[in-house]
Amino acid sequence: MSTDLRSMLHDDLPERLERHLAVDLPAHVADGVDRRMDVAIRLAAGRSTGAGEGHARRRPGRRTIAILAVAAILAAAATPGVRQLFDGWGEEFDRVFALSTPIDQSVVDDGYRVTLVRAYADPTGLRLAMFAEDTGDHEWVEVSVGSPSVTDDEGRVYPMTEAHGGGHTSTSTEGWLRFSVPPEAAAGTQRLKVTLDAIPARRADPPDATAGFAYETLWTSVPGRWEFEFDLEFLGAQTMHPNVSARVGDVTVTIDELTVTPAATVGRLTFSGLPVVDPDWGWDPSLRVDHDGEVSVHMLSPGFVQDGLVFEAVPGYEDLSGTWTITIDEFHRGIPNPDSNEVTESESIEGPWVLTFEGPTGDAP
Amino acid sequence: MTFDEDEAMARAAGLDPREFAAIYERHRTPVYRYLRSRTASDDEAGELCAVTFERALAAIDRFRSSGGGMIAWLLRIARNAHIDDVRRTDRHPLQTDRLSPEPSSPIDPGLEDAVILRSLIAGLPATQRDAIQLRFAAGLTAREIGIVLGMTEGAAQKQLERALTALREVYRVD
Repeated sequence: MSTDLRSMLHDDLPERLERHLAVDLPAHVADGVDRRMDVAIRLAAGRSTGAGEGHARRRPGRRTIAILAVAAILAAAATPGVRQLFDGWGEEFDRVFALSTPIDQSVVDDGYRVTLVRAYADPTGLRLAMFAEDTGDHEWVEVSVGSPSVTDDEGRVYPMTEAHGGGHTSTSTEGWLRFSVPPEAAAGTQRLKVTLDAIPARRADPPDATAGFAYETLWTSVPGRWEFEFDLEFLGAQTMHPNVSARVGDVTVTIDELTVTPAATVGRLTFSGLPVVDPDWGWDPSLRVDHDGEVSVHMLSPGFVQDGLVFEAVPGYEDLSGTWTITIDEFHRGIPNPDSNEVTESESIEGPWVLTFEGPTGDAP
Repeated sequence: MTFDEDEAMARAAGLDPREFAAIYERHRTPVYRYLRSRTASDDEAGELCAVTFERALAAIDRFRSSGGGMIAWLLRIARNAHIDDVRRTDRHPLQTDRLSPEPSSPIDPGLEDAVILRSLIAGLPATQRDAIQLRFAAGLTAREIGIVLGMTEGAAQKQLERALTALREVYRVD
């Protein structure tokens, strides 16, 4: 970070926070949320009120499987502009996109086109950037990529662990999907097969408008067959076991393991001495990871913890060399009101616990 | 917007859900901004924003202005929706011992200004992080922040001041 930026942060911090956090609602996101609320309000009001009749859409008829199905693999036929759909998702997605391999395969079945745009894999996971479109005018208000299955040519299964959906227009949705990589899938080239047997689609009107506020029933499943096969280079990782501890009061924090890949930094911490609490309202540590002065961005909160956690952050690194400082400032937990189940009180155990260690230089973790 | 107005709007929406549209239109942006400050993408924040208002619509009969204004009530729902979302995410410890180092092309180390601030906020203690997001993303007062976080106005103000001090200290020019 430059000195100029540090000065600006120091001098104008409240204004800068407001400028960066009080962001505009993007039009495509606003459209999606508006549609959801339009449906929810009409659901709650019931059809007897006549509300929103002008927005009602025709429900698609049941698909005749096999007869109408037309599947075609269109290699390198990604929709123009698809690349832009995956820009600006945030630091962790942008980095993976930059590191990922273009696949650009599309499969069309009965007017539903699914495109596998990019793929990336390292031991932290397999990531697929995919895109689903209703090109057949089925008049759903949303279609989604859903949950593809992934296997390799050794028969290993890659379970899906995360899905981050988009919602670019009323007939298409982009998504980043993430899968666990089996430990025996070593670095090197793997041939992967990605299969979708169905894609989720969302109707504007529920099957039974009097069913109450069960908006989940708006989603249904469209059967089909979308298959992709491609070779992907799996990148490797470096792992070290620092076993460095810090103690404040009765609580000891230890860093057992630290792994870096080009996409992410992952560490495993263990805790001892934390008071045992309800795991549904457990301890939330405030965690900072610093590598040679570069502060990491957490990809996801580790959630509530008791005995330890696995954190994941960006950026990733080529190797572990350099000075690492992992800091937990405090453990915090909310205490819910038993009647409302909303957090009305809180408690904290203050540190800081500071773990500093050197990573090995070169290729010798 | 006074508590009486909030109560009146909630009562109207309880009688006729179409009246909820006015609540949604009035508070959509601050709820989205708060959720965007806690999520990785615009679309994730949009999804949670929709979930927040769907839950609020379903629970509008239970709104009471004595628990704070409508915006504080909505942001409590938003905060819980985000916590639920994080809990649902399945995280698996990594098994990497068998893998060998495999260098690849370097990553551009330059970080955008907004990303730097988000990373700094992510590193704050949880309550301070919440206070910063509620103040600067959602535009809440210290009193409203206290209502959302279950603390007094003075305690909320203290959390805000500590957070700002911590952020300044991290980037102090030596």
